[in-house]
Amino acid sequence: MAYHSWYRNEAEVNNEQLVAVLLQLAVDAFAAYQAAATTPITADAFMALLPNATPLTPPETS
Amino acid sequence: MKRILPLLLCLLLAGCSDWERTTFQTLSASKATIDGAQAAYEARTIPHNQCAYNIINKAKAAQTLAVDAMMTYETTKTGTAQSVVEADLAQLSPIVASIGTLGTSTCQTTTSNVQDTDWPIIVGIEMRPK
Repeated sequence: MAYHSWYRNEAEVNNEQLVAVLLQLAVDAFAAYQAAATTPITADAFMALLPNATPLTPPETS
Repeated sequence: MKRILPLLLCLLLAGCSDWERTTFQTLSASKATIDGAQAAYEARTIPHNQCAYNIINKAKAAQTLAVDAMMTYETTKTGTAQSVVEADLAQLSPIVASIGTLGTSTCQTTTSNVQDTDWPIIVGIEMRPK
């Protein structure tokens, strides 16, 4: 049963690719954390931490 | 000038508290995660479904709240403003951690069991398939 649900999930997005993407997110987050250790803290620097303002594309409804 | 520049940078860095620095680093890491997740969602390298859509939107809203609160703190420097930032960060933490559950069979919209606030490690732990 567990295998079945996992298999269905793989059909949507290749799992290896997904793990690679999530790993890259973690690496990028750590790099940003490290880089911020020496970035001068200013009001503009905090402003730059606002997330991407572009709205997400809604998922398709079937 | 080459000797003065590092000195100015040191003075600038020393002018902010450890708490501000840690908050800045935390928000930098969470922004990298959220923006990266948004790009991956649009590129369809993570599931382009309602769960991912909800998690990323929720994370963006929480990040915006925390950054706005931090900018308020920077202008007022009050304990109250600091408390607001800390509360917003506590809200943001589990939401960003839940980005690591995208694509699992139990895509979560909340992760109340997450205690740690070290973003990169959280993302690393949460990305394990369940």
